Amino acid sequence: MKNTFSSKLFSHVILILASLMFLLPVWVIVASSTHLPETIVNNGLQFFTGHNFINTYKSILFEHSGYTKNVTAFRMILNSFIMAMGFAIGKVIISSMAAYAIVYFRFKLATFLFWVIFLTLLLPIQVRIVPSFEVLADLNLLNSYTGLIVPLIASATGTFFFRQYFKSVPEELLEAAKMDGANSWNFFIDILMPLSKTMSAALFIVMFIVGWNQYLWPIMMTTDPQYSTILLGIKEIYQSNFEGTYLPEFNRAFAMTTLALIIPVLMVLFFQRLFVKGLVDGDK
Amino acid sequence: MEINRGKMSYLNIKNVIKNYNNKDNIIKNLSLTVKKGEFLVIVGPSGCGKSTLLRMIAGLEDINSGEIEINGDIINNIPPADRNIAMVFQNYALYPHMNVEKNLSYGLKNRKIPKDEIATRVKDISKLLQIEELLKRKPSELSGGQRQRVAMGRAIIREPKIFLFDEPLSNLDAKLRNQMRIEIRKLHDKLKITSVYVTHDQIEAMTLADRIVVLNGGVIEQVGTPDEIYNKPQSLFVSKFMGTPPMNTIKSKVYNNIANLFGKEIKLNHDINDNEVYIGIRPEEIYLKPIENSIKIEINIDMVEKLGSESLIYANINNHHFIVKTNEKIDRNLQSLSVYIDSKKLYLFSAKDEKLIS
Repeated sequence: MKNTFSSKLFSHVILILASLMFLLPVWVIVASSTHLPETIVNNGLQFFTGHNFINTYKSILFEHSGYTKNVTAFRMILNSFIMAMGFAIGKVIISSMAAYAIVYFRFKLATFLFWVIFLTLLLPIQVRIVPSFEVLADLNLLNSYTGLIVPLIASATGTFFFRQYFKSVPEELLEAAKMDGANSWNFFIDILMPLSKTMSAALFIVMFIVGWNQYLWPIMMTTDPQYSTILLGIKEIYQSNFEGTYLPEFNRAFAMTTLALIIPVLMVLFFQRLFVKGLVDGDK
Repeated sequence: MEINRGKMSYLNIKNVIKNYNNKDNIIKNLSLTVKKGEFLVIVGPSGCGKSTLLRMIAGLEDINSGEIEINGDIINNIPPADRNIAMVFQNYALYPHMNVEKNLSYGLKNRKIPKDEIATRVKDISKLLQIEELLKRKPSELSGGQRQRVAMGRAIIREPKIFLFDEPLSNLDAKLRNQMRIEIRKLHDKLKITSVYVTHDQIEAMTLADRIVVLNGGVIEQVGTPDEIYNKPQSLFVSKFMGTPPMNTIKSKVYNNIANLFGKEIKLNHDINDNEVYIGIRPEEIYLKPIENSIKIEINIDMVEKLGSESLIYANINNHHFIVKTNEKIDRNLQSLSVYIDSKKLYLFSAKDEKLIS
């Protein structure tokens, strides 16, 4: 495409409009969250910031709320963070190891097992939620981080990506490492994982977001609000706004939504830099 | 420079057979000895099994039967890492995410060699190979020749008993290839590590080797010094494979020990039982001026290639293609020419088994 002024202008207008479409609703939520609940109820959503920022956020972060009035947003964000981290790191570790086994240990059933793993893509968590719940309940893992994370950790997508990547690593690298006295563990840790750094980071960030946005599993798993995640908190706070007979506190709901956004956004920003670095370095 | 020359090692390959999935044998009952401190080059066309042979020595391929020994110990079932053999790969196989220093020391680290010793060895090796300034660079920041050096350094640093090269120069451009070839030979003269070098390039074979093994279809055609291979090729295959341009060979009937070379009768000094032979003539042993005992032949010139100091004349005689190599000045537009063949420098190969008769 010619890089003329008009084509530049055109593409910029499109990009700016698209950004606005995405950003405006978010901004409205952020701005509204800094107003008093009365303002929102009387005057609707706000485009400009108000003066109630500190009060709202302080109370939502550190004061107990929820049905049982015993969990803070801070606690829920922490829970979400722990779950998303465990979820993402676990997936990277498990799927890279599974792919390593499938690609490098040429046992008879490797290909068959790979396709079995791949088929599980067709089975979302909803299908196995009852048996999974039962197993976890029998193991006394309800209301625990282990219970939140472990059942979700196996990843067909991750295994598939790692498998494709490992297959593209030249055979001679493995042979050189063998001659250099590396055992299978050394080769995995010293050679393969550093080589797939960029890929692992990409998988990690995607899986972190997926983990952060988990809803069904946590709501099944947790009865103790101490293990509640921020998503459950948001659902609860909006729900109570509509059910209560008192003044709906939309400012608090918006504040919680804003808080729920911060961590994933930070993660993406941080890992995006790693990403680009990995790509520019040209490490194969 | 103190590189442990160790006790020089020798390698014995006895009756080795290799096939994949019980299909045709790639290596057919091959036996070979590599002497202490020798630089042995295995040369052959692609698919002749030379790389497979090398990989079996390294332990990267299993063997179906036979034995491989280092210093008399059978190593058939010893894993590659414990054979104390180092290998330089065709595409170098440097670890892309490690800098040169780490690439060099990785093998030592895995062998739990103390850190200060690793540091000394890295220093010595990088000095020897003149890669001292490159230690902190990654392979992607190195040129082809530099990568080649690092790959060799990674092999030498382990002080291996045997050094294997798998077509290490084939990824370099022609000029660099010559230069690295000389360096490899110099290095070997310095270190005297028993080496096996695989290539399809006969110039590399001729220039590097103490002894050459010519391999064809999984069978050794000939083992010998470069001189022997060139001057006494034991088979038609060797005669055609070694030498640029390749030897001219002409099939001829034999009757009463008299062969026929383009209509000229040639008296053979040997009793030939076959009634057909191949007559081989080196392109460089055909002259444009008469010499003693020479046979004069008229040729039709198809093309002349000028290579500077010498010229190649592509000719045909009754549709037999024929190459003459000469130092004399020659006119590119020449149509025909008389050439003289030294009757004492003819090679005779049996038409039946294609082996050398004389």
